[in-house]
Amino acid sequence: MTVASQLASGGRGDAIRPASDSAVIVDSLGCPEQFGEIYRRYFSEIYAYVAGRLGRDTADDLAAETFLAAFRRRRSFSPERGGVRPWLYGIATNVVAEYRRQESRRYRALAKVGADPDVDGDEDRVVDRVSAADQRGQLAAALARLPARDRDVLMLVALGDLSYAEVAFALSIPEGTVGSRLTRVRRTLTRALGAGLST
Amino acid sequence: MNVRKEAAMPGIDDLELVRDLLRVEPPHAATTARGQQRLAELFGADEEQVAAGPDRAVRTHWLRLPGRRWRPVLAAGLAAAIAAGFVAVQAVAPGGALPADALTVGRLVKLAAAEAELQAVVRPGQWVFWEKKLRSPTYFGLPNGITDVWSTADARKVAYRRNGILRVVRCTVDPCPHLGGGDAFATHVTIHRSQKGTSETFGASLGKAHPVRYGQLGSLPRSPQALERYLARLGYGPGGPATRAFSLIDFLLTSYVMPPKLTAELYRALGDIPGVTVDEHAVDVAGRPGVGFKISAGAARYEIILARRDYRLMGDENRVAGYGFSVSGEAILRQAPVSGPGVLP
Repeated sequence: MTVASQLASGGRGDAIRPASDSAVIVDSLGCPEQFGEIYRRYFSEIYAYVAGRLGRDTADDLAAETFLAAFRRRRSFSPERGGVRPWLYGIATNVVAEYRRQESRRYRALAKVGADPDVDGDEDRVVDRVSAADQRGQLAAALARLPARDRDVLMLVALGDLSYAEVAFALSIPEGTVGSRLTRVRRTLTRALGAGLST
Repeated sequence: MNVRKEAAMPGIDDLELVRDLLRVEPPHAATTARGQQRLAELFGADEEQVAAGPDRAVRTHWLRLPGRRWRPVLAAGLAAAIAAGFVAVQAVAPGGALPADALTVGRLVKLAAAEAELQAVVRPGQWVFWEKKLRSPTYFGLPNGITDVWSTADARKVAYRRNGILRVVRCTVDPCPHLGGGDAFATHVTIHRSQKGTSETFGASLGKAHPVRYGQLGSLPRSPQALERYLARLGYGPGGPATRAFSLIDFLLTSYVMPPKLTAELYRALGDIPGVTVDEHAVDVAGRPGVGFKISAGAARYEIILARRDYRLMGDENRVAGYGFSVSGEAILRQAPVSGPGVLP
């Protein structure tokens, strides 16, 4: 353990810092079981990403598919290009891409459900809930209409909380393209939400 | 560049709305377990593939050279020892293609540099406790075995216990060597007595300081190639420019607690040195397995050993081909900042 990591861990001499993701990937080249650590670290959030886009039933299998694909491709992982986390999100995005129609159907279904809330309760709360449901419905409908490449950027930022650089790495596109796509898609969404609020 | 978190339209956080709309419950335990099972099946298949791959290079056996930080003390003795009969027989590693999963120099450089850059900055005067396993020829009078040493990050001061008494020594050479209470170290300690009391200095009899002092670290060339050329020209260490650069980088890595960016640059410079290869089965003088950067200079081989787990420095080892036993090296067993000399972490 280095001095710096000792400092980072509060100066305890016996503190043990977990191996970095990159180190785990490299170790897994000689010892495949090491890759299980990557699964343990990231399965839940990759599941949330896939399930958010395709629904839980589909994600039950596809989240695991992401890790199977990552394991097979681990020799091509280059830590100098980016981290393991955005790399996994990139693979998950490719897995989701095979289910574009299903994703659009999910958003259209959410648009319908979002616009048809349970309206029991007092008047103010009903108004609030109808307004929120309208907003959700407008948003879901807008998501269904987005071009796939713009939606990928949006979802990696919104659901994966990736930075521009990480999205660029995940999708193998320039960072500037990430910025322009995100600006465009957010403008589209706010326009849709604004229209919903003004009606 | 970080993603802007503010809403694209005042009053509406579109990204938060997307998150809220698409938020799902965590996966069931059964779902997680099923995925693990599928992955485990794949592990088995991969292991069979690895097992069927080409043989790994067989590790060569060497006789080890003394540590480079001690070379000012040992240079004459070492030269005499080699001249007296150490036979340079460098074993040749078997040929053939590298295994598909071989750790290349470039890959190891990137991993080590990436890890180094994650570390926090340590101020130069910070006291650091080092527990080291030292191995060296007994006839040089250097300590063997485990030793406790305190040193400032810039290695201007060192402290050790000798006969149960803590002694803090200011060095006239830069850096102070981590030799603990060894006789070779004590030989070069000068005790100064004055009306103000007693103080000790190390190295006055050694003359010339090492070519790169801590205070000069900030002015080293920034690009790995330029840094490697600069270090090679300094004339420190044995052999040609390549081994000199390698030795100096090893010396800097094992002597100071340096700024993280510089540490990373030194690893990158290692990757540019001609003749540097990877030892995937390195073992330090404490017997711990690791991965090493290695370079040969005639009969000698020098190695910088990193931890397999996180690619941080474990120590170094120096050998001379022919007899297969270690002459010198050190393993960093523990390294921790402390509040002052004599204080244990």
